[in-house]
Amino acid sequence: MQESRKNEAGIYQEKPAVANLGIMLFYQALVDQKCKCTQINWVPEYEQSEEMEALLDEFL
Amino acid sequence: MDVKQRIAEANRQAASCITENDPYWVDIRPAGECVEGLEDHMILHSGPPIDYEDMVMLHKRGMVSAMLFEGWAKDEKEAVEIIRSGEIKIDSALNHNTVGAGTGIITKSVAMNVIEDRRNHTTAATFPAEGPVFQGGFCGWGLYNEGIAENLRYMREVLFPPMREMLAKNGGIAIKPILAEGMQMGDENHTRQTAADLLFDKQVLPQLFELDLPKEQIMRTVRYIVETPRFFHCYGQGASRAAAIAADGIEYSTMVTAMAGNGVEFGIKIAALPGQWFTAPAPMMKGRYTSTKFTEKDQLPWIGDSCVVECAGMGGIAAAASPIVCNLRGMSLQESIAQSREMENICITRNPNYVIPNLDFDCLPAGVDIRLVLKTGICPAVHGGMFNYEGGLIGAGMARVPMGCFEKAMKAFAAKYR
Repeated sequence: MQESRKNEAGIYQEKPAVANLGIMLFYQALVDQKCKCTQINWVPEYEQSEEMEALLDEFL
Repeated sequence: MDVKQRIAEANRQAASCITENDPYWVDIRPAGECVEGLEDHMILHSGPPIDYEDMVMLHKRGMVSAMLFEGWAKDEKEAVEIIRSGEIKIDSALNHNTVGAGTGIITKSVAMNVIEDRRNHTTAATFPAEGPVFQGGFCGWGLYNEGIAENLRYMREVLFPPMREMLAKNGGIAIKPILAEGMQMGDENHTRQTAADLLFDKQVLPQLFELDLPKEQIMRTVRYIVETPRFFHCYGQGASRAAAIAADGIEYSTMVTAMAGNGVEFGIKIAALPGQWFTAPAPMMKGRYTSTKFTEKDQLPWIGDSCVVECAGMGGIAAAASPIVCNLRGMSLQESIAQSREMENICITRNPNYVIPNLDFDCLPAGVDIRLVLKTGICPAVHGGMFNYEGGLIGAGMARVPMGCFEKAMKAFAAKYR
């Protein structure tokens, strides 16, 4: 238990390194605060309608 | 070959019309002589086809302006009566080998730049820039008065003859090298042509000065060229349109060949179904207004054909080339790059002519595929000018082409090829 609390405290003592998934606004805000941050461009998978999904299966 | 292989082969062919194009500015001629299918008593407009009664005020005013400019009516009342009688044929400019910037009103007597694509063996006509901002606006902005009409005649009769003589003498001005080099100098060739304008001037001005014409005559044309903001825009549009026309009619191709709005609806066309439009409600733009007095309520939904340049992999597709344009909307350099990277997901190929420093010298994507839009949910980003309901340009920004256009196109494609 004591070891765990010590590790938690360590998180706040070290400068964070962040990998930001998706929304660019968060990346920019961290960079503006001199935080080391890597942007990964990602969006949730788009869900088509069943009709479009069937057409894409056939033609793509 | 199965249907998927046929589509892949067709899209390679269609995209090559963009990447291997070879456009030249070769002439300036009356629209009646260079716009195919433009008949007497016919008016073309921007965006997908629309009936007069359903048009926004800018297009209605454009119709009346065209009637007065051509002398088909003596006043506005008579012009409206004649239009409503059905005597005037009205059609979308993009159903012809031309492109309607802004309101895109084109009739037989207006002078048009002629763009010849020597690889694709196509010709497109584009409406020339109307000169420095004067008297409050331009015909292309949905405005009209006798001063604007007089300017159109002055361009045709005074400013353009030296240009025509120069083109006849030199055989034409190559457009692609200007687009490509401008793209490496901060233009995305839709909202920004700052570099392209200078590169164009560098070629054209010495040739104008070499003409055996009075100095004052040459200087009038030179002043028109150098004092007009975004002078080169129409040449990029003409080059793009000539490439798209070449792709139109390629069986099995799902590549987008037209994207345009009429202030009510936004429409796309695809290569395999060249006679059909696929429409959805026209989107609003997000961007920056020219004055703090303007807000979204002053803005007309998308009007104009200028995203022919996005069809050819410029403008919103090329955001990484022009962070300065994207910054007008508050975007960072990284966001500008991300916009072009996002567009890679919906494009068929890369254009080896457009090598972009901000992409670590990767090539820009080109050729939007409707299937990839539907698969990824990423709609093409299109840059452009914001128009006021009352007419006039009030800002610049970006919109996304509505997903509904792509869904309708996919269904029509399936109906043809299933």
